[in-house]
Amino acid sequence: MTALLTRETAQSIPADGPILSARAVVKRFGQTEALRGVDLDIEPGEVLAVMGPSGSGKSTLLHCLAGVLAPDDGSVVFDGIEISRLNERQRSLLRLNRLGFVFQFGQLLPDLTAVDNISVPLLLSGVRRNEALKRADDWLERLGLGDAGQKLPAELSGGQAQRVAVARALVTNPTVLFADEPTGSLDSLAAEQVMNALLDQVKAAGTTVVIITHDPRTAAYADREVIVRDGRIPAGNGVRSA
Amino acid sequence: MIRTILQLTTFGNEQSRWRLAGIVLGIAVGVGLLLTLLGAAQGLTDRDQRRSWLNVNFEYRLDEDGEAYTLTDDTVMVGRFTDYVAGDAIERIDVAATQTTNERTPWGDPLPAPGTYFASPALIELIESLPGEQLGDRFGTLIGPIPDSALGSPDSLYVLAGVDEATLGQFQSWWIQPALAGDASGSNVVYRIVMVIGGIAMFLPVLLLISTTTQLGGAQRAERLSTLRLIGATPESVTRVAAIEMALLALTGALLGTVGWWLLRPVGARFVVDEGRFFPYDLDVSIATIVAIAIGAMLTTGIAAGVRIARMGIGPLGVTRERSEHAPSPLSLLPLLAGLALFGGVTWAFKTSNVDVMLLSLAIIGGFGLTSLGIIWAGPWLTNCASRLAARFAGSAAGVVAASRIRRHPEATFRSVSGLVLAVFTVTVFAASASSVLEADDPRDGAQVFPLSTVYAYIHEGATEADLAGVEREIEAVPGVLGAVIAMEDRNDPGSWLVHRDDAPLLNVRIEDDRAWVRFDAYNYIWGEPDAERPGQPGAATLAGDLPFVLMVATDGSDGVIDTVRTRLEASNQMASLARTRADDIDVTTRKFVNSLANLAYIGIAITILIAGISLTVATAASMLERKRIFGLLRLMGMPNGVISRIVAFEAVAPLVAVLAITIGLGFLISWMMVEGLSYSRTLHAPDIRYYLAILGSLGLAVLSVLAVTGLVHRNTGVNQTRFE
Repeated sequence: MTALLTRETAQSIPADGPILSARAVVKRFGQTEALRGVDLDIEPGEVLAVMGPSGSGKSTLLHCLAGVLAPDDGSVVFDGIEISRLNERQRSLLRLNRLGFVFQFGQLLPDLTAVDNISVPLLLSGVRRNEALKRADDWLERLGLGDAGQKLPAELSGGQAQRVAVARALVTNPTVLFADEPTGSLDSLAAEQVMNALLDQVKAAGTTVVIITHDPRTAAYADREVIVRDGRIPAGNGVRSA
Repeated sequence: MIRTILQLTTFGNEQSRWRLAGIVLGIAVGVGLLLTLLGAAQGLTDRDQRRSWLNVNFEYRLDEDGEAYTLTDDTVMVGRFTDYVAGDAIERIDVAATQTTNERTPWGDPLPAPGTYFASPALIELIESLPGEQLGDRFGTLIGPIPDSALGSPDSLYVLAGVDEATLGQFQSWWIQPALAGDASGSNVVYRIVMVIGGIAMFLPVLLLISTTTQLGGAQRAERLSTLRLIGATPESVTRVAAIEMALLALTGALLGTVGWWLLRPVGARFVVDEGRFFPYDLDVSIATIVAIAIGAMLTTGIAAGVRIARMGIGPLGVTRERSEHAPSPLSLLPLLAGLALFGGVTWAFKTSNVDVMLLSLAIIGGFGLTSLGIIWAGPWLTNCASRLAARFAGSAAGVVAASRIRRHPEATFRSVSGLVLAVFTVTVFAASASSVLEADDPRDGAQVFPLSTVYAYIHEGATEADLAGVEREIEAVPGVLGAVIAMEDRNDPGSWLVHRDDAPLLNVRIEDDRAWVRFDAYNYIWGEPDAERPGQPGAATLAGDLPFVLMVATDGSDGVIDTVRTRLEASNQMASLARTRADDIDVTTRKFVNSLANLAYIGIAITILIAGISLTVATAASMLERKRIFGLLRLMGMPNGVISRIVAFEAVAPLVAVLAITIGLGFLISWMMVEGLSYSRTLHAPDIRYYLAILGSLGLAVLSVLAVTGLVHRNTGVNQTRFE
């Protein structure tokens, strides 16, 4: 199992079948039922937009899919692994090596330069510092941030900081990238730059992307959209019929 | 409006409540400490006053016309001595008066008649616990206790013994004065100076603790204040809120500190300072002083908080971007170098010319202060250098993150450990300097050295050979006594001791040639070369013109035998002094004083280290909590809990490692300059065990701080709590 948790590239994904699959997932917070039996399949290399109004449960769904929260009922299977059966350490290992994350704002370490921020996941994976910095520099170039390597987050614009976050999420070649409102704090021009940069890279690498958004313009970049309402995904929307 | 703002900003969440608790606790500790120090300073003054009657004054020997007093009904004849029992010193006043004297004791009782005595309660207890021949028989019959109003401490060992004029007249030192009274000596001045310096050294960590807790949850608080600005609060009202909030907290802290001080006063009174513990009422402080301290705390902290908020410039849009500190400049080393230069200059001046003692003292205190300040000033630069080095070579995520954090915030990072650093510096200087006295003056036996087990007393000029033979017989009959020896006074060199070679083995003296006499160096307690000026006359007891000078009694060294010999010699009425040992003299001079001072200093240092440790814990926790969201996101991305703990640990330990070794080195350097440079014969030794315990305690507290905070890491950065933003 450890080998599956630490596999570094997306190339080993099975050609057929979903890479991530949720079945009858229920999640409760006290008396509130945030997810009420969600079924969802996500195919390898697919870009999926999860939409829905505030409080609909889309963020909770993302937490369950990423192994952040354990469902109360149902199962989440990633690349053949039942995530809810993993312990905390194994889930950390999974998130570090197989999943990537981009958030809305404030996710960069303020004291680290852009290049150091990008290198952190590699260092955590045991890559040597020089190699990590080299690969981080490479990602900065790919995302058009070649001059920004030695800048601190406070010295970057919102769009630049978000592209650094994208580079940090992709530097470990994750199998699935989760992006939670990745353009929520940006103006439309910066948002477009970030989405284009992100999609250029994931398409080239065949990375699966799950984007949480309530912005139709962001959702338009996706291959498929699912709507979450009152903790449910309408029948036939989340799971493709055979 | 202010009330609303206060409610929103002050009691907002758990962190706010911790912050409030921390500030109140810090101020309470500070106020309690201040009251204790003021009480102790006042207590030392009162102690001096109460025991002033012991300070019989040389000037009283002469009346207004410059004539010597004679013993009349309105004068007393007084001798002041230090007696010993089992290594403890007894302050002894022997008093002789006419039978119709009008004089009384300082506490109003009639003066003790010859053969009777008053004693302090602690001495009475000691007398009752020992056989009379070891102690009680020296003084006669007890007629009552000396009241507390005439004692320095409940542990004081005082005796006021009545003697007749003729007996006291045999002693080397006595005088007649108009009353049994003296001036308060101010003998506690060194303690007062040490307490002032120690107080300042202890207050710094307390101020750091208050400053650190004030910043706990600072980011969230700034956000709230910024939101309030957005909805219409003026900058003045926000500043006022901060000032009022802090003043109220200071008032609460001052009240708590006062209550704590009052309750803990009996514990404080148990600390041994100088001759013993305090009476509980010694530590009292007036109500006016307490009120003044409370108002002072409210005003200073309130104004400081208001100014800080005003300078932060919280606008309606808040401060959204974290600002790095300015990189510290190498120029920040200047105060430290100036302090060292001052010490170096003082040492050089002392060695090459005559320096005024007062000027020398001021220069030493100034140099110490400047060096301490210099360490605080230079700390961020040293921390920054260390972090740059660490950042260059760091290979792990924890190392890179922590080194970068320290590099951007060297002042804040160093501030969290500066209390500990200063405590370690102070304890190093003190322990190293004290070692020169404690170690060097530790009494030991050795070749040609006056044995520690030998008791000696000067012989009364009128004592006859028969008298002395009687005393020798009586003394030699005491079990445990090895023999008695009479040293002669050199007729050509008054005050010089000469011992015959037949007696030499008993006194640990070896004479290689055939000379009959050996001279004693009474200043250094060593036997000198055999006296070349005197012809060898083995077997001759005395030379013509020499007089019996000192009676020396060799014993087996046990306390009981030594004290019995003292009692017999003192009761013989043939001696011109009380009986002593070499160890008594060493105790009287510096060793006991330094040891007592060391005890006090180590208590202060222990408190300082504890406060500094708490401060480090709070600072480390604050630094982690400030970033709990970002740490939570990193954990969500897969950063293991242990890596975050290592980041927190690295940030706390790196500045300690960077500065502590240098600080300890500086402490020893300054001690060396003070001891070897400013004394003629002393030298540094390894500090005693308490020093190593203090250093271990400091490091242990640092480790505990880090462990406590790493425990918080798991709870506060859990992915379930942080979730996606």
